[in-house]
Amino acid sequence: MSFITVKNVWQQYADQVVLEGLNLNVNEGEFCTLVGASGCGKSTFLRLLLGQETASRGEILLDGQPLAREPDASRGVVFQRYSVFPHLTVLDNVALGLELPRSPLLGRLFGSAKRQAREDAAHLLDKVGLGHALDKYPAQLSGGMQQRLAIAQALIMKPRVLLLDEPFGALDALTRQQMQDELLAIRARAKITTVLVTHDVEEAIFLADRVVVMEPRPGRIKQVVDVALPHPRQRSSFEFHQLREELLHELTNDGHYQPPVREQIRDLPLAFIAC
Amino acid sequence: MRLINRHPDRPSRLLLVILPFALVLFAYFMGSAERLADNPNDKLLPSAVQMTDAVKRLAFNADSRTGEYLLWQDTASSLRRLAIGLGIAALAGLCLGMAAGTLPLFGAPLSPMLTVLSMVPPLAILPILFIVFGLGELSKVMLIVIGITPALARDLEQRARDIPVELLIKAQTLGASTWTLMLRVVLPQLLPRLLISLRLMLGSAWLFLIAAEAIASTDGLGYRIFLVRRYLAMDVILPYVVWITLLAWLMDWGLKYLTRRAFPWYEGAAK
Repeated sequence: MSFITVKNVWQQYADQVVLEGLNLNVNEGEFCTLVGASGCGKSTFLRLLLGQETASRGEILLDGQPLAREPDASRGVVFQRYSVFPHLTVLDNVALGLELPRSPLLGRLFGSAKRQAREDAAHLLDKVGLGHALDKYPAQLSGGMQQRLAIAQALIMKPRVLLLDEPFGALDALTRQQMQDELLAIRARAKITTVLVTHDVEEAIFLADRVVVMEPRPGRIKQVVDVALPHPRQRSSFEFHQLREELLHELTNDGHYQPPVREQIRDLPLAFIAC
Repeated sequence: MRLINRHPDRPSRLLLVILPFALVLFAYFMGSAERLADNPNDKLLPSAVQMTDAVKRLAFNADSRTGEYLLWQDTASSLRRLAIGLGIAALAGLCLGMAAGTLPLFGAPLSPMLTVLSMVPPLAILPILFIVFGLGELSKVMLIVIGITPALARDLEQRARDIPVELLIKAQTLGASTWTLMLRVVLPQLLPRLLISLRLMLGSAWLFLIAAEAIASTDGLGYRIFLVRRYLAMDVILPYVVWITLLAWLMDWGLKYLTRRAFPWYEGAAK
């Protein structure tokens, strides 16, 4: 029995078809990554899962129930940017998730309830390695720490699904790898169903139980690949490398782009390389 | 070295700051001394002594008719009107701007309306205000409110729209309702912007205040200036103008200081 069921979902803006007949099942606790070139509709699909948009046709079920038509606490999200509130300290950014649902009138707690919320938030932040920065504002944090904060903020809600939209796309390569390791560590503690969107094939393979390869114009699922490699995965291993080449081939072999062969590069005129 | 690459060092920067002020004062007092040497009764460019005398008379001697100290009474009246006007405008502008910028259903009717309203020249409807609200305090305060609220509201509406949609989505995934989202996410992010907008609007607020006081009032800084204009009393007008400028500058500085103290995250986030 699949946890998230996507049945023949289409998304259209005016005449433009962005998603065409998507079908997908994601099991409970599974880590699923969507990978594809820009314009393949992977972010649109994530917005549908989030409830930020509604599909033109088809339906999405969460645990057998139709998905709520607007974002709610059942689905946590981390975006590439603007995921944390600049006006709140690190601690308040996380405590906010405990305050909002319990105080419909003012959106904030007082007294012992507030103390408890802040304690819980501090405990979680400690676990993701932000225990030393509780009183800092997000602008004082590095990009990696901001995304770590955004993940903690989503986790405090104990969402049923965690949606990640290129969460590490703006980070430098080293920080990105570190964050990928930490994301896996977090998931090892709490097996939360996760859907991650990325254009980085290596990231998709490193993290996912299953990689969904999408192709653009219109957005379609081209292939679904199970990643059977055991954790911790070695990026340099033969199997990893082979899978990466296979997926890259899938992604690039659509007539839009041909990877250059080494001999061809040598013969190209200089002007071409310069541009 | 090219001019564009040359920067003043600290001492010369200070000198450059003082220089234009010193030049203006120098030119004024040269002209004043020259005219007074020609005609000791000249009223156009009073000397420093004459102006000091006038200020002493208005600030430290009780008026023989009312028993009040005119400069302080005028200042208190003007500042009270300004404060009430700015306070109401800030509150109204914040509510309207936040509603129009955050809630599409409110923005659809409000936004075009605010745009049109902000085009109405406030001074053109001053007579209407006097007719509707009478010649008392209310009409003067209303001129300030009507004059700056639409512009404030439009600015804050734009700022509210500038808040990344990701943050609004995120707040909803954290369990926010529309109301708590506005209270805990939109409002705190707009408050520093409100203070900045108010700073930019201070000039207009003073303009409307002086205009209203000039036409119908019995006290206030603008009233005094326009009253003594009949006697060509430049020795009163010039110190009053300097005093108004100083007050406006202090308010501007105070709002800037408040922004930095109350919203430490704002400057950091702007980087």
